[in-house]
Amino acid sequence: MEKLKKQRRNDRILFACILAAALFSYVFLGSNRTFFGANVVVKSEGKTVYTLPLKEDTSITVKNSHEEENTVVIKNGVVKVQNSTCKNHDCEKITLKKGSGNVIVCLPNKLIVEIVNDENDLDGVM
Amino acid sequence: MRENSLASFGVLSALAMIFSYVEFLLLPSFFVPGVKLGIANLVILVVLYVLGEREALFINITRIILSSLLFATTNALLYSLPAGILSLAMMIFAKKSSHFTPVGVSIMGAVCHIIVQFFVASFIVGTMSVLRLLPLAVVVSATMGMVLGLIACSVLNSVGKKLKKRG
Repeated sequence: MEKLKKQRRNDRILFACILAAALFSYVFLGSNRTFFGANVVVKSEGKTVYTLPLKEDTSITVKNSHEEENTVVIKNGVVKVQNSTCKNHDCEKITLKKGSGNVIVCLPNKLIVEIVNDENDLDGVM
Repeated sequence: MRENSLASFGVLSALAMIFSYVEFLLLPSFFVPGVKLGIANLVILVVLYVLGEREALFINITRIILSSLLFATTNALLYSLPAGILSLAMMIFAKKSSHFTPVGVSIMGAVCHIIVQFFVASFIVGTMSVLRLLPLAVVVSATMGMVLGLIACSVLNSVGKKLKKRG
């Protein structure tokens, strides 16, 4: 039973290591945090199709080469995807805000929406 | 393949497929986009311990191909086949090292599975920004892997010996 104890300890170490690695990558690598002068970038099938200022309230419809549509809505600094033609509607569950370092993905329609720093806005450089 | 194990193969493949189907019914994913329960892996994990590596690989591939053809969307195979094979390879490696209980093996498999799927997804969508959702997904899937590993442990303790005798 000595071996089982050791194995159990290894299990816990493994789990802790994975959590630590995830936390590390979330804090230091994953999140592209933006605070000033942010732009909303809409990518469809790997290409950037729109770059919109986060400040202005807009609503655009993105159509890909398979005629699949998503509507990207920017309102009061919050970005959302609506009216997706995909099946799961996972993309409609996430909202983006400044500094959240998140990304909206609609995998079936190959759509990505993310917030990035506006490189032309010098105030935004930190 | 021994003839009496053929029946076990069929039954266990069917069981794995039923679990895939249950998962598909629960699909609109629960915490994080892209993360599923992974309950089908429970069968694979038990098979890995009771029957062996080759059997687990065979049942896993059968399950993935059949369940994505039957239940899922068109390119589900693209995500689940590489992820399924690589995560099983990881689980076999973890089991052979004999440093882990089934719980640790299951965690390894779950995490490997989600990482491969995210890389496939970022390749399909064509940008790496998908990977930004990965840390949270890894945490959730590691937790799910742990829960399933604990279930697998109790399954192995109660019916493992019986299955082995028959298989």
